[in-house]
Amino acid sequence: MKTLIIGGGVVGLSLAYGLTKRNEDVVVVCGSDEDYNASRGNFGLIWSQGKGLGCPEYSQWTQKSISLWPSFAEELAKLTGIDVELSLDGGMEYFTNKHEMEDFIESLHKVKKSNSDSQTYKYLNHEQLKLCVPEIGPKVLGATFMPGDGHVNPLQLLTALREGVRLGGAKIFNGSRVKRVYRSGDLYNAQLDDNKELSASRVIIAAGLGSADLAPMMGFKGTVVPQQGQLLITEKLPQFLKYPSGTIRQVNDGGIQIGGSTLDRGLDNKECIKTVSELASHAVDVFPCLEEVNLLRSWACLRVMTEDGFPIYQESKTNPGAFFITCHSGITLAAIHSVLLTEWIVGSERSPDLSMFSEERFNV
Amino acid sequence: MFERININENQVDKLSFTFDGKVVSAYQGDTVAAALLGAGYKCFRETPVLGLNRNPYCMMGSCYDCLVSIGGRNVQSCMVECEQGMVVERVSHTKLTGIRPHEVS
Ligand SMILES: Cc1cc2nc3c(=O)[nH]c(=O)nc-3n(C[C@H](O)[C@H](O)[C@H](O)COP(=O)(O)OP(=O)(O)OC[C@H]3O[C@@H](n4cnc5c(N)ncnc54)[C@H](O)[C@@H]3O)c2cc1C
Ligand code: FES
Repeated sequence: MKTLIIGGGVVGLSLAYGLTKRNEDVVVVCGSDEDYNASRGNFGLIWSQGKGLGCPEYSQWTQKSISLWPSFAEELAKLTGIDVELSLDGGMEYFTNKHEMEDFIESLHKVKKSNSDSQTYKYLNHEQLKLCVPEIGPKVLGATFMPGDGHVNPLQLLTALREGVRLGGAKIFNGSRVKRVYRSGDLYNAQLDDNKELSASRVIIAAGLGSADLAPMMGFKGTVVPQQGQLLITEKLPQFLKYPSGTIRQVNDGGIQIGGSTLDRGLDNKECIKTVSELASHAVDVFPCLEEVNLLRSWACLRVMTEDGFPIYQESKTNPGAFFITCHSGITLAAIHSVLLTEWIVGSERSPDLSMFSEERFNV
Repeated sequence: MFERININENQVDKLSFTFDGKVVSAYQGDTVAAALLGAGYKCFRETPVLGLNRNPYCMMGSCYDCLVSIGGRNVQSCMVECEQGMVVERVSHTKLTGIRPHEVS
């Protein structure tokens, strides 16, 4: 069966990768460089810490994806020769504010209670933390540690997925956008910018923020909400940070990446001095040794959020074979998307129950 | 490796500065990177993680391969004009941050 995937971000490509591995016939329309591309500007964490409050299934799904990551990364490396720089040595969240820390610990506690399979977090006070991360500054009250969390090079991941999909025999349309998607009989058709038409018996809309226009054409609600995040990267330093955190991580070539801002700015994807300096000063509070280090670059990027922050995996009721797929944390979920979500799309006997991630939850 | 072109020796002002404690002569208007290349330096610094040799690549401030330390800060040597008596050092991240690299696997 031929599958047309609309969207060349990490979500569309993880599915394309999973499908080509199953020897499915796949066509991917990647969109243009002018689109909002969350997969090219994100923080690169493989992260469960703090996720899944109010949705134990999401916590389980995330955990399961993390457990699939080592074999996923290995397989990509073997197939494409590209190292995605995975490390899963555990993740820290550093706190300089007492209330924030207490609230966060409470939410970790609740998530753990609702999903007993989830990893057990650990709280470290300043003194305990200092023993394993000696660089922390005096303003750090403590940290929570989640074993098994980690990070990856998100650009290498995107490159490896594209290469894997290409080697898997998929046809990839670079730089083209779909302007209309419609059904005719048993086929789904996509009309590209240059009026070229593609058709397939299955269509997956995974166009990030671009899905807001496309998904309603297939009868989905298609609500995706932009949330801006800003990121900074410093000059390269010797490797010293073993554990990434939600706001600070050291990338493979030595730069310190700083991020974690969340702003509702609509479709504005420009960074601003105020946020950049807030992020930088938090990083210096946590690691005073960064004070004299140069920033090289900063950028802003839009997260693709759903109304409740959990993924949407929906097959159309009226147009069977038409799917709308979106999530925040597409890096963390890339591994499971390429395996279990793919099984669900093709309806195999290994298909998981994903009904809690249906778009229908927003209809009440 | 590099040599100066079309220079009338009588029309330029010369100056000198030190790099890593050694005297380097330069012409007024040279960037530190140009002067060091002119003086034959083939390695300005080593990368902090793998220890690979680096010297200028873009000469226009965007690749950061030409970093040196001036006045206690790491700066792109291709963006700084030479001054008489300037003290230029090799970058040392340990000096800058106090960080001693850990065994990070
Ligand atoms: C600042 C920031 C930090 C983040 N940090 C993390 C993190 O640490 N860990 C993590 O797991 N996740 C993180 N994320 C989230 C993660 O980046 C996203 O979940 C993921 O990239 C979403 O991928 P996507 O494919 O859905 O969307 P995108 O990457 O936005 O891709 C959408 C694709 O659709 C294409 N497209 C759009 N419209 C059309 C059209 N009409 N026709 C054809 N193609 C079209 C675009 O060109 C693009 O290729 C972060 C995101 C941001 C912004
Ligand atoms: S040579 Fe590229 S920044 Fe100086």
